[in-house]
Amino acid sequence: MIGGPPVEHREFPVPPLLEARELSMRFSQARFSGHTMVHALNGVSLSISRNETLGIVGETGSGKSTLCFCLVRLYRPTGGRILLEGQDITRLPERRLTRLRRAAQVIFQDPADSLNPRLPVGTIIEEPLVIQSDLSAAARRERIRGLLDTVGLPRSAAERYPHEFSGGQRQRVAIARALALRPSLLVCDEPVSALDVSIQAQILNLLLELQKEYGLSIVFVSHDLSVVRHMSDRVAVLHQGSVVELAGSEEIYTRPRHEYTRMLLASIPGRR
Amino acid sequence: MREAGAVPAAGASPRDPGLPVLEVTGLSVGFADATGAVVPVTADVSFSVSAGQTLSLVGESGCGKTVTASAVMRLLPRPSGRILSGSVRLGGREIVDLPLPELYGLRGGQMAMVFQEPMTSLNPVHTALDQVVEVLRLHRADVPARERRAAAFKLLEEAEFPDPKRRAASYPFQLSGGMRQRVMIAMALAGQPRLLIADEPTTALDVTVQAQILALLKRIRAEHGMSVLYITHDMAVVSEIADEVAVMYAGQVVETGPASRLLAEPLHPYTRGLLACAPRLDSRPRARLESIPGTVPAPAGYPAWCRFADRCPLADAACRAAPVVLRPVRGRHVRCIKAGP
Repeated sequence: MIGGPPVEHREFPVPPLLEARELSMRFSQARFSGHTMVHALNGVSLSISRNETLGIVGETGSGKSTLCFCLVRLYRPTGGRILLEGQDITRLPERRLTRLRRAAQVIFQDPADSLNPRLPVGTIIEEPLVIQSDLSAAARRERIRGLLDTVGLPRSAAERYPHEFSGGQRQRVAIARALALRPSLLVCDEPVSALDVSIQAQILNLLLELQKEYGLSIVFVSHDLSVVRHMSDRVAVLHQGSVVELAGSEEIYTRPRHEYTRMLLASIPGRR
Repeated sequence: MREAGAVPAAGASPRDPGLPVLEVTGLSVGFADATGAVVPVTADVSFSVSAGQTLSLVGESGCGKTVTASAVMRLLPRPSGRILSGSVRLGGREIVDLPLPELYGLRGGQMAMVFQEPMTSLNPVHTALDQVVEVLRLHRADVPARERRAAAFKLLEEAEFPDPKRRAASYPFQLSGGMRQRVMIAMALAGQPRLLIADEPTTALDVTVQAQILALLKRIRAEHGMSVLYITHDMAVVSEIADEVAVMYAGQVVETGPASRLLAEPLHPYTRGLLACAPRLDSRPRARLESIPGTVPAPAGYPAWCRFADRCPLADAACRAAPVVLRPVRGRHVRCIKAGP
């Protein structure tokens, strides 16, 4: 690969945190005339190292979200392999995915859809701890207070419900929940696309700070090329389910090699 | 359509280049809440759009940009929404208190609107072509009934709707977001409006399609000498399309002026904040982004003084002493007492 570290895992002294090899995902789509297969991902290979941000850009239908769902095994890919620190988790049954669920957490675009409206925020953040940890109730409450501090919400937020918060604050709640189990990887699927620009900057700053503080790896998915450039060490350009270009962020934005990447970059409004 | 463009549409007033096509003065809009009390959501909004120019109304969610555009079209939701005060003049004619039957001639004729999500504004049970034909039937007495289909085809072509011969018979659900937006644009063009109001027309579209639609809007504006009121939250889009800009915050215009100068040297702290907080292709990667602390106040909680004071790095006691008016500063209008000459 150009620029960034090579994707071939054998060249790493330690295996990358998460690796996708020739990942494919097909969905069968019901039609009046029977079923057709939709190839959402075609042989996607990429890897995420520790403390690294891998950006993924692409247009609607390019397979960005499908890729996210596959990486954290919310989908079971129909082809290829996913390795977590070298261990193949592609076909592991749900009950044996505990380690992955602890290591990798997801933040979605619209926090209004991903937070249970009937639970107070404290309970939402506590849920992964109840399921995955053996912390006492008192220790969990302590952890929740610490997490609220970390994401910049008042401690009183724990007693309130999601609808009482603005979009940006709800995204902070989602980040606090994601951090509860001290994951090594955050998969962020369009985390700021539903937010106003002034709030977007607050959340991007928070993610950068958290990464520095906890040595997080981040998969950052967005349709906004300027935002992806700002956040990422390396960038994968996804087009019709395939990675058409993967390189260091600077490399992609200054010397795009693939025709499609060039077209994407030329479409950014307000280039100066 | 270009030949037909020479024929003035029915009811069109003479196009005087000196007069602004749209002049909004001191417009305040309110909504009645559950108890019937009216909460003002915009206050004293003033701007004007000159002939053949694009004015961009820019601001974040809830700042009142869509409400202002709806008030201009007299499309405020009934019965809760109402114009509290102010004036909207279209081609010199006051339309704030115009009776509905006269308004029907203006909407779609003198002024047309393109919305963010064309799926919800197109009629799902009519084909693309039929929706354009309908506008011609309603607003173009000069196009005889037997020529409407041909004229509609031409309009779709002009809106760069791909392969109209084959696709014009498609229903909205069969079309992509970009194609639906092109149908909306063809419908807007059909009435030969003097003013096109575009409310976030590219926000739901991919960046490559957005670039095509922006180029299309620029071309048809130039070819038809149309004025455009372009509503967006995206400063990068503003820099692509706008001649003039009006920045809105918490229901008020806080800064207005020529796009190039306003973008290069913003005078209001909110405009500065908006421009600084979005990452750009030439900004330093992973550097801390400027952000505007806090959140936008709700309409019921707008303070009587500067509405940006609680988030403003420059705010002091003077900013919280009295309402701040929009005043001329260096060839622009700025609602900030700190903006010096």
